[in-house]
Amino acid sequence: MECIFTNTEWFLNWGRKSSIWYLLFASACCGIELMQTGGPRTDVDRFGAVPRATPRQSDLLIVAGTITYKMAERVRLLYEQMAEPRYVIAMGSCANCGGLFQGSYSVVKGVDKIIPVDLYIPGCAPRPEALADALIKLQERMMKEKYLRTVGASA
Amino acid sequence: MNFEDIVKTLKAEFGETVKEAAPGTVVADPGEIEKIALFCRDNPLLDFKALIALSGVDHPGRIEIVLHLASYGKKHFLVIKTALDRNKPEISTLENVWKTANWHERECAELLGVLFKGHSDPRKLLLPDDWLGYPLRKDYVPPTEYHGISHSRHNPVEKKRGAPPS
Repeated sequence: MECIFTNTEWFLNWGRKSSIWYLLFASACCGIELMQTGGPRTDVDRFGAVPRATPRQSDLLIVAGTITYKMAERVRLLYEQMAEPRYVIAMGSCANCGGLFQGSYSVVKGVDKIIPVDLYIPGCAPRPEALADALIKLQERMMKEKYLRTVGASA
Repeated sequence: MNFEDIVKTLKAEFGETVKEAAPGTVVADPGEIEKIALFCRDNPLLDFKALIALSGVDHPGRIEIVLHLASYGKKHFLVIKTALDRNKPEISTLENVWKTANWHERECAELLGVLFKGHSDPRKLLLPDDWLGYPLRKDYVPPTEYHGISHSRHNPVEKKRGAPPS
């Protein structure tokens, strides 16, 4: 039984990690690096990561850029529209902690104040290599998941 | 047309309500601003067809509205400043003179609390609709939270400095 679980889980995780569809969403200048990451030089399509234009079909939300209070509610809405299992990467200083705009009256001091974050990428803005590395780290994390024995078992 | 001639033209029309300040800048009476703006736009010698920016500055005791005007035909520029009472800043809208003033005035209104009388769309432009206070005023205190999102974040570096030496 354990053997079946392990193999099925491996297969599920492998399928999931090989098709990380990320939401086509950027709120500031990190979006430029995000575009570059999807472009031919870094090409995260190699890992099966392709942008999707709707949160309903996305597995990963890359918060690329400064989030203002006005935007915070929209980000939360996007996150809630995504189907589980869903992952969040906070890309760049602004999404991590408010960054350069921490002293501003209208900037959220880190996107983890509104949605749970799986990975933080430092940098202003992080290079495409950093984002590709974060994707690989996320894939490693996905492979360690025991979906059938946690969430799936209770369903 | 150089700046001296622009000031002369304005003074010939409005007398002492327009005063020369810094180079390229005139200070105008806030009550006359709409007439002055219309004159600047329609006078064929001045020909200020473009409003580059309408902004506000918070000075002690007064709020200054700054208009940057340009004439692309005559290739000259002018800055008009006008001071408003800080406790009750009110000025008539320039939306009917230059259409672009609409958004500039909305921004100035939400950030500095200036009331533009006669504005056709006095909603907030950039800030959330339920925002309180005027952030670009010098005495503005930011809120501690907005819709349950805390405004402060723990600074790991500062704590390390303040900690007793071990």
